[in-house]
Amino acid sequence: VGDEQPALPPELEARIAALESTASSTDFEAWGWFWMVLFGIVLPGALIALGW
Amino acid sequence: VSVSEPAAASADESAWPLLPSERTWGAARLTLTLATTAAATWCYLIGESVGSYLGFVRGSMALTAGCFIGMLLVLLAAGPACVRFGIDSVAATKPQFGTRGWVVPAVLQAVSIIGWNSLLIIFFAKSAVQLAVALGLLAPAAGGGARVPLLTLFACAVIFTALRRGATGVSLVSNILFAHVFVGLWMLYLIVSHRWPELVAARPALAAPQPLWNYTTGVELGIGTTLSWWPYIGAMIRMAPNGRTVVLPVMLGMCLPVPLLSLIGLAGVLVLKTSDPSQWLRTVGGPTYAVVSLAFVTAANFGTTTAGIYASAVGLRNFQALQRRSWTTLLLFTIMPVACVGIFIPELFFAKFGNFLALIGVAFAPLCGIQIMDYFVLRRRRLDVRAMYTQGPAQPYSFWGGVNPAALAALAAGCATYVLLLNPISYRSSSWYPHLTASLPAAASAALVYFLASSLVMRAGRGGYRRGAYRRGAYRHGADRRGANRNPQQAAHERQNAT
Repeated sequence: VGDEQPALPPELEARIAALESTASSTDFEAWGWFWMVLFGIVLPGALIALGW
Repeated sequence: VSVSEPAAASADESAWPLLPSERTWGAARLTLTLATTAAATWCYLIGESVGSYLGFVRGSMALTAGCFIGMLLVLLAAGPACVRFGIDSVAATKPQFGTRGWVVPAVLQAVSIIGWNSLLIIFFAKSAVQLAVALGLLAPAAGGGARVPLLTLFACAVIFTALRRGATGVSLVSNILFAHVFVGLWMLYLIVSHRWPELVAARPALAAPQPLWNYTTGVELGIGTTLSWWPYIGAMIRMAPNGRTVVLPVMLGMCLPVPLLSLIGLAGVLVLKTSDPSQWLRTVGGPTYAVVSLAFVTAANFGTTTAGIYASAVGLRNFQALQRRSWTTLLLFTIMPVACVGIFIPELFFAKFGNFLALIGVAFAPLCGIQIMDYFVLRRRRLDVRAMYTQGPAQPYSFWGGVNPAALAALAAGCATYVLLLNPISYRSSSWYPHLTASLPAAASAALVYFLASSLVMRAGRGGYRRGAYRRGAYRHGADRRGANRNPQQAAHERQNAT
């Protein structure tokens, strides 16, 4: 897995620094949550109820 | 320090975070790639399994519902870290398992993908041989057993060549092979339109006396199927720029084709007693249809194997020993086991490895439960990307020696819950299983054990958690009353780097 790593490789350091500087790092937005609830909860719930 | 151009060009061949400028896949490209990845021979096998317990209509509904539930779990588990930082599924487990403990999910991923790829490449070679014979390119008997190993070698060589271009190679193969998804839907239309009365009247061969057990098993098969996308999903969705671009392609591109194409196997086994479309299409439409079907099966397995080997190679890149190896070496390292299985022990692997893959699959539900609990409840959606790649005793995700015992205990508890509820090989089940499924309680129990064990981890000041993080509003109001008791270095690190 690797030993103690005192410093990150410059390339990785640059990537992380770039990501840290972009404060708008978010996961899912409102529409994403809407589709997840629709397809992941509402639709399966309806299908299970209908099929049963 | 800036990211050099050559490094940026090959960023998708590393396990390091991708920058927004490197994440260029739009929704259409992601949908197409995910759909090509999802559609493979396993769809018929899943359909066949469901058709053993349920009729066509109820089986379709149970399987589709289960697939969407499983897909939601996978997206909630691996999705947030992957879309925020452009990392793969394995790297996304570092906040839960630790800067060394992530090896456990990495091994699960590697064994699962390499195992499935080996099976699919054997399916590919067998169907390619049948296709060549049907087209008159090969004589029915000449060559004997050497054909499957030779075609396996050929397929591995083509996949290796395509993947020399990294994620672009996966996308390229998907662009070429995507049409097979529509061929699959056409095959489904054929059997449904030709045999509808027989389909609705057909009775499943192995149905249990308890209808609820049969129905739950249909749902469980769907959940288990899409949970097995966990190893694949990160390497694909990290190529998309944000969460908005990811959700619909995953739900409609990666999830929906699985139940739809599984209906081919479900219908086939109910009406014609075989889930293999190349056999029943000959019955329905003659030899021409059989050739189309064989071409479909061949293309489907090839696309999935290509995506799988890419995802596996990116996952292995997390190992420090492989970080500095060339992409070509890493690809060879990933393809070699698949090629060796297909060339030397295809029949033995075919007969014996399915059970092992079923056992490995048990771990993905608990893994999802752990990740969801950690990200949404314990960390309140805060992750430290620097800590994922930094080792050392004072680092947030180092826990104890780089391993989080809470995650290991939760994983073990989740797997035990699954096996107690349902034996994945014999399908012997407990009395609770028909009411609960097995995957959902496994995920829930793992999440609960992780939550409880993490309270001890927090009390010890490990893991980069903020004290009382799971209490409502703790982050929103900046309440960290006992922050002074934390390791000062860790606290400073969190302040600077939490994103």
